[in-house]
Amino acid sequence: MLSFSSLTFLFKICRRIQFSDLRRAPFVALQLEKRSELAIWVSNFRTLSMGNDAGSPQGPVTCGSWIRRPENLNLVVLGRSRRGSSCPSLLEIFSFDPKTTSLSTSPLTTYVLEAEEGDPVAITVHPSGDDFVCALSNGSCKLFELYGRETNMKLLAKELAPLQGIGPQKCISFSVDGSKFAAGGMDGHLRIMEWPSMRVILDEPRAHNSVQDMDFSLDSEFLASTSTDGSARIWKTEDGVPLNTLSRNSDEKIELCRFSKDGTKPFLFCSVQKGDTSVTAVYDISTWNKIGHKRLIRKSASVMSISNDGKYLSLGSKDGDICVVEVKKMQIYHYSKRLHLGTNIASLEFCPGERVVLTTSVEWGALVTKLTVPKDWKEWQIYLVLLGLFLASAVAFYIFFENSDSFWNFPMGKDQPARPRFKPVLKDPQSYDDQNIWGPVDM
Amino acid sequence: MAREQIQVLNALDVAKTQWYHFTAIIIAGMGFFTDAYDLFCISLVTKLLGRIYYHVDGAAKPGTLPPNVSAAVNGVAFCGTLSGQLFFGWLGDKMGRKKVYGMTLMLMVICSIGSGLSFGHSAKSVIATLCFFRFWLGFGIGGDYPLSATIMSEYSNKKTRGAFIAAVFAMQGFGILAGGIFAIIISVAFKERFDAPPYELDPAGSTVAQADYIWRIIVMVGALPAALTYYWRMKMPETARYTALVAKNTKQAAADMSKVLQVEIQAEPQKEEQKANSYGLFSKEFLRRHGLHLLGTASTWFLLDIAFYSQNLFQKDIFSAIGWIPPAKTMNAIEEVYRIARAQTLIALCSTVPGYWFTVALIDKIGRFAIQLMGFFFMTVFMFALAIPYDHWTHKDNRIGFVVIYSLTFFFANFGPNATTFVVPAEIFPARFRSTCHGISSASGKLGAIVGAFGFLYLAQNKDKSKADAGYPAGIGVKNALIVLGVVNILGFFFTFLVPEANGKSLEEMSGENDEDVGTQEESEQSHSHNNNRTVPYV
Repeated sequence: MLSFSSLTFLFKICRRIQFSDLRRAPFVALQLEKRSELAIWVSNFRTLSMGNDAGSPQGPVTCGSWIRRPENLNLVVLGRSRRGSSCPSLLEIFSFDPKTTSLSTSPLTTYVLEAEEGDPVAITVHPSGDDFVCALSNGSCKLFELYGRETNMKLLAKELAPLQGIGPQKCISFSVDGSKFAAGGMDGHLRIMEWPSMRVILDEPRAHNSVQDMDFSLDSEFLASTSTDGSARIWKTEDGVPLNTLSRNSDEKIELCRFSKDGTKPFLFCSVQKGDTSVTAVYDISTWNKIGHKRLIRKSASVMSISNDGKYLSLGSKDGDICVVEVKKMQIYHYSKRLHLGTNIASLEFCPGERVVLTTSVEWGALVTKLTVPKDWKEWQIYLVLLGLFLASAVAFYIFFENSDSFWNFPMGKDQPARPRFKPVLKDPQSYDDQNIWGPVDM
Repeated sequence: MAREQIQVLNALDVAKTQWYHFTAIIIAGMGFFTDAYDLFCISLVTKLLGRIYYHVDGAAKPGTLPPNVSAAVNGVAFCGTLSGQLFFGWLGDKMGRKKVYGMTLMLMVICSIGSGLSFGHSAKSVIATLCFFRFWLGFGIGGDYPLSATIMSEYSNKKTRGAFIAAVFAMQGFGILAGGIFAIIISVAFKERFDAPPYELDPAGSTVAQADYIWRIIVMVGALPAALTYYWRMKMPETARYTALVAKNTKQAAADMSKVLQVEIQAEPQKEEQKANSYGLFSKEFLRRHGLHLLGTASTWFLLDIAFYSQNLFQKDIFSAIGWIPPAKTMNAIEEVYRIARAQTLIALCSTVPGYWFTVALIDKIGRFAIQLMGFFFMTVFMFALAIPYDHWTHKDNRIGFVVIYSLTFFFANFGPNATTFVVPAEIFPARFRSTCHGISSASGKLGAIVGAFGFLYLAQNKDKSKADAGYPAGIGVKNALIVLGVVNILGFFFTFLVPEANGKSLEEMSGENDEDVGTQEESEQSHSHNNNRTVPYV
């Protein structure tokens, strides 16, 4: 269980971040050639100057994701939906400060979605960290490319022709190696494509009743997808062939699925609803048989995530709880009760390089939470241990060196010289010639 | 850049054997190449060290390292290897193997360079520094060795795993070859530049001052393949692979996971099967089923490495004994290095390396058991063929015959147990114990290397103390030492039977995967075939 100090610490972090979130002012790129944009800007200014606006000046956060950038830099992309007529749908990029475990107070860049594009529904980031795809409520998906350094970052939008007008997509995902893209629709239509060529691998309109969740395996060989009716299927990503349907009892509904990211643990983790109870089941991906299950989170799970190194599994509940489980022992190492008070957690994701999770909900926006899990060995600590061993053996060796004349057994005693004393010898030409086995040099 | 690297890995698995896989073999094999170079280059320079630092004025023979010093210089790296294997094995479990990999290679680079340096100018400090850094070089090699094996399995094509692993292991032969070739180049260059009379004409002048650089250069160049290994490994993408699937360890992984979950209630037959699989390592049930297997794999690896490492480290002494290398007093220091390097390189080129590649070509055809049995058998035959009529071979006219037969012992060591003792422990044990049993067998091999490094040196000395090298007690002579090695090989031959015999398996069965894996594979194929035929129903 959480200690009191940890709980207090977490509470402070949450309060601080929430406050920052509420204060965050919208930033709209001013483009003089678009009068409507100018009008929006003026409108926002007027709203802020009142000072007593009852609601948040921004739309609610619908989805979020980490972006891993070079040099161990981590960014966060948030999608906001429209609120009323004065707050448009947005995509915002924030930087993450690992020292304070917080997001930047203002976005590095913002992209405003047109009214006809609808709201962002889901975001998936390519493993390269250079671009991401956003599924929109109008039934299309857009590609966004990230340009520039942290100080002058820009978002460039591109249309993806095969993903135009395909209907609202519940889940979108890149494979771990970045070579494939999958989209699962609310109408049960499942698509797998090669990336970036967009060649169609699978185009199955009747894959599910309605897609609920999906995930690529670590080796990018399988795609697991779940349906709102409780079934789950496994697809081969090489050719789109359906491989298997996960076994379950009649009273079980498989809701969420995540493949293990630890190469030594070839498992698929599923959140299963059994009546009123939510349990986590583990399937062996070499046989697709269930190994066992365990109850981890107290309420129904709404979202599941796994850390990049595969050590931790995380669940978010419909009541706003999150728990973090160590995969090896399936033990809860972190539990935040009502992190998003009374609200369904919409997205939950591990930071690529830190023990921090990003969570979003419509009511409370985006939070980053530092996890109370055992610290990993830092690389410098290992080097320190190694250096310590090295120096200790150097000291031991030196002591041995000073007391070991008899061991080295030098025939000329302690002060044996490093090499024989060189005696200069004048060689007569004939003698030199005799010793030269290669014959006369003059040849 | 990152995207390209990721794509390479994807293509690596999907494609059939292509250029990708040869690239992967070279990169994965660089670890073994580096290990072999660093471990064996010392044997090329120990004679030179004796001449430089153990010179005795007025002695009839050039200076030689005393037995304990020679054993220390040769063998301290193997003590380091054993320690490093344990330390980095523990560390790899703690924080993942990829992270510790850079440390082992960094250690190898630094200690290769350190081996060529000295703290102080006296002979004592030079030899002491060399021993110190050789220990830590071995420590790094001990960490690198299992990691090279791991990376090997991670990048292997799923279909031709046996040949792939053997090919990677065969890079060891190229490491030995590279050491010899480089020593030849260095010694020829120095000989051209700094000519000197033989020892018997001018004892002091036969060792030129510049000879000191030769052994330092040869030892320090070991840092270069280690650095290249590091560079190439870092360019490969992060491994995104279920290594458990590739290494067929899924049952062990599933068993570990089932211990921390509520397991579904199963039917009676499965429950019984599960109970049958629940015995632990070194339990009575384990010893009954696999005790002899473990004894077989560990003992054969131990016995092989006694013969293999002693022969590799002390080839030059045997060559001198039969006259292929002239008596030391008839050569100067640099010429001696040249002749030793040439002889060892010829052996590596004509027998060690071909032996490895014969194994690569045939291991999946004629099987591990037959290769190991044949290898031990012929090693025994040729060893006795050398030892019993030993006086015959010492005549000048017959030494070519000696060299030919001696080469064949190396050929059949490598087209034989040296390769199979690495492959077999990874295949015959249940998945739950596979890595542990392989580790035990490997550690036995290292102990054998230590015995070989320290033991043969004493045995091979002449029976007459006056004829033994300076500081050595009388030994049993080269002839009897070779007989001892022949007996070691016979023991290896007979211990090989422990591996299949306990299960009553025939040679044909042992040559393929064991029954457990074959069953799994068939099951998997049937399942796949069934699913392929099924149409996609609406769910």
